[in-house]
Amino acid sequence: MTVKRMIENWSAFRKSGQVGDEYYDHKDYRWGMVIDLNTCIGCNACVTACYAENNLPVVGKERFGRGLGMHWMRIERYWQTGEADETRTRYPEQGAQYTPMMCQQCEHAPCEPVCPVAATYHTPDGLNAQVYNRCVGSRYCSNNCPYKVRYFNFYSYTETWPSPLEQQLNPDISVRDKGVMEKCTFCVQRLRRAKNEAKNEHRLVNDGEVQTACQQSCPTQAIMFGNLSDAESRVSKSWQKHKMEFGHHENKKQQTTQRGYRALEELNTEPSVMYLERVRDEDI
Amino acid sequence: MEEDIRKDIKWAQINRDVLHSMQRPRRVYWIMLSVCIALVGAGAYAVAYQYNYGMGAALLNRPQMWGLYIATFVFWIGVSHSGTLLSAILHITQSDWRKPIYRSAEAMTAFSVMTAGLFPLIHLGRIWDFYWTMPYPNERSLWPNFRSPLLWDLVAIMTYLTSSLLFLYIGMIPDLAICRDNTTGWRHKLYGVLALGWQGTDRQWRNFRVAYLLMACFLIPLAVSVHSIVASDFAMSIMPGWHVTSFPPYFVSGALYSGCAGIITLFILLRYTFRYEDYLTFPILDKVCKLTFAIAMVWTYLNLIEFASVWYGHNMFDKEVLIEKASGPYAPFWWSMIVLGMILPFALLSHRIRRNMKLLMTVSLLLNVGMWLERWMIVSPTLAKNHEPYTWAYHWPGWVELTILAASFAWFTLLFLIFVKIFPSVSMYEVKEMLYHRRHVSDRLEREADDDSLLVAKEEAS
Amino acid sequence: MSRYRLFALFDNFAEAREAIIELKVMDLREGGVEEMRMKSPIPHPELEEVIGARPVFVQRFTFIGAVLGAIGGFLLTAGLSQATFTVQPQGGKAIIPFPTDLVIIYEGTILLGVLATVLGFFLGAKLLRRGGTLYSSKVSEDQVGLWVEVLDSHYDKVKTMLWSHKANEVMEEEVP
Repeated sequence: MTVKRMIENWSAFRKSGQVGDEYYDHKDYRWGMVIDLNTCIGCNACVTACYAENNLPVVGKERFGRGLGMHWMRIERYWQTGEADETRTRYPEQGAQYTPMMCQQCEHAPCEPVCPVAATYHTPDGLNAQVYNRCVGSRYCSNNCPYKVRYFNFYSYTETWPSPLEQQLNPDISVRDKGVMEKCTFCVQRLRRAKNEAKNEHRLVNDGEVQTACQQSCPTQAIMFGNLSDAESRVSKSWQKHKMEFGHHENKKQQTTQRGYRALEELNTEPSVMYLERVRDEDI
Repeated sequence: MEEDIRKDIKWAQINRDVLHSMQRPRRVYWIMLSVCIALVGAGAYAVAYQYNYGMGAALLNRPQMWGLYIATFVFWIGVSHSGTLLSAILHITQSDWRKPIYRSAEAMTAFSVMTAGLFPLIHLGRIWDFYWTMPYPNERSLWPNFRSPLLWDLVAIMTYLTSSLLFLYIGMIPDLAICRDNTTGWRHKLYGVLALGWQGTDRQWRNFRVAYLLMACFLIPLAVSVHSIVASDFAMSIMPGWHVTSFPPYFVSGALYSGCAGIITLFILLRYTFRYEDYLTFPILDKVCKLTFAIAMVWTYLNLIEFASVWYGHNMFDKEVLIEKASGPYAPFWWSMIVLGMILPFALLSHRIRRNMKLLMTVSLLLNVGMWLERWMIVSPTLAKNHEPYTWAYHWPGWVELTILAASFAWFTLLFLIFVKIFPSVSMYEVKEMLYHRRHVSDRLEREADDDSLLVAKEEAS
Repeated sequence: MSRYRLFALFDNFAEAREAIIELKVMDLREGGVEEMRMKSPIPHPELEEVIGARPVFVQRFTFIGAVLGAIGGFLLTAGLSQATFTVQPQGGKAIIPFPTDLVIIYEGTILLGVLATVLGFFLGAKLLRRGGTLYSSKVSEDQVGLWVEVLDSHYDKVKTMLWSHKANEVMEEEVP
């Protein structure tokens, strides 16, 4: 079987693997996201929804303080300190800025090639997948992740749901035991269900048919999720509008309305999540 | 100039001295052995505890996914480079002063690789699944990921362990034959099997010399590759402070450095424990010290050039890591590393320090403390300041990590203690060879005159 | 015709060497010496000046081993990574990336090279075989032994010759 695969796929495999290659011209799906920081109010509803959807353990105050929290999605707060300069004259103190940060589903994910057992890999629909059963816990992927969005089960939390809370666990996905790395999957269980349903009806998943948990719970609709392969989807249109495309970093912004950027894109990780910059008073 | 070795030592005396070192140990030996076993036991308990509770027992956290385990792993791999350097490099450059000391250096190589190899396993989140990292045929045709530098590590370390154990063993066969000829009982049986019927015939020696030389030639590039692959674990990542081009040579020089310092420690210990004053002589010690100093300077240079390139390159992230090292909470350790690694080796230049065994012992141990700190300073401060400021955090080792660290030293010592009582820690045949060559350099001319009679006979026969 | 094995011990290599030269001379003149071996505590490559160059085949083993190791290393990385990643590249890296190939080929070359060298040494040195009973522990200490297999007709002559070269001891056995 191995030899057969080898011969069959030799030509297809010997690729440079760059975005723009045949392989990366995704077939029907390439999941992408847009997060508008203008509308994000930092309410943490997305984080809570993620805990509920993905069976994330609540680790407790002490462990959370030690940096062992398992929040696949987190709201990063950055404070603008009030130093007046030419750009910020009127209101130097600008308070908190929020960045919802979760796995960026990079096309060139630095976490993927370093895994010794290939527990993390790239799916054909553009997700960075983590196979819990295969993970041996070398934690190299987390070290090599520039966003630090990979979460390691330092302890076993499978028994710590106080009864009857174990009843609320999502049956669609597993509960991970100690020694395993995990991370945001773009709610892959929802994607899988939507794709299956669409396939049964001989069509593709429609735009808006599937929502991630964080998107669903966002009170200000700051999160937009969809299929980037579908040029008519809202996500695609948003990417086009903000002149964001794979294979190019540091996109030149011709107008002030083009607010798109991808986090740390200068590292050539090709994230699938576009953030829309927050417009500040000095920008106007 | 003082000779490396006294020329008038009787060969039988060499056998007696070395075989004597393998006889019934003194009480100090048993005490050391028990302490080591106790510490290894404590380490095993810590590993079991960690196994039970998960990696959280090691007090790691999110950005600090690797801690002392990986730092100590790199340290032990570094120590293992001594044997290769002294054995292989000095063998092919025909520096015969290596002969009395190389056996113990090679043993050190083998045992420190055996110590180092434990750490990647201890550090695995699911240690019970460690064999998944090996390429073994299985029904689902799941294989390890060869793109991961960790896999390169695995392959390199397995190769290094196999090759250095074989190198140690092959080089020891003539000595094992000596042991076989001079022992009785279970030892005689053991050495009889291990000596593989060595009788020292000219045919055996001929093949032996070629094989040993070939293995030495393989070991040098292997040793270089092993530590540069360990460096790749860091350099191949995109982490600021790890993604450094000069890491492989820097790691290799650091490895040779700590290996050499380890040899000085061992040299003094063996010299005093087994009264090897005739073989492990001061002139040889001087040479080892000078070699250590030279390597220390290479390491210092590469270290400084790394800082300089970070500073001059002006990459925001890299610079932040460097500033963190020099001024953050890890700064005391970082500066100790600078002092112990870069400034202390100058002590080796002093003749008076080189003759003061207690002081030299301290210096050599401190050099290795500095090298251990270096490895820790590569792992922890870098992880503390990554690309994502929101996740910046520190890691301080707890009792689990420290116990396992202590246990690793005990494990290494334990292996060594067992080794010196079962195997000859000074190469008898090579010391004899060294003496023979030093004594007979001038005899060659005489011999050539004798050959005439053979020539005459050959002519007559034809 | 029956043959005998004689084994003489000499104080040092120089004396053994004299005896070897004389044996060699005798053999060249009238034959009778079937086989000759020197057993010494240290290697004496200068012996070949007397008995002529003897070939060593260890290098061939090494070479073949190293080549096989290189090929094996490549097949391992290329084959196995293709077998696993039927679906897609990882992290923007190729399925058969060159850096990985290089590293594993390098290590494979060395590993099999070393193993083949050891094998070549065992075979070439004829280890793992019974070396015969004519051996003295003095050989592993400081004396040089001369092992010689002679024909019946030359037995006395060789024995006398060995004694005349200040042999400390001469052992003998009949070849069964």
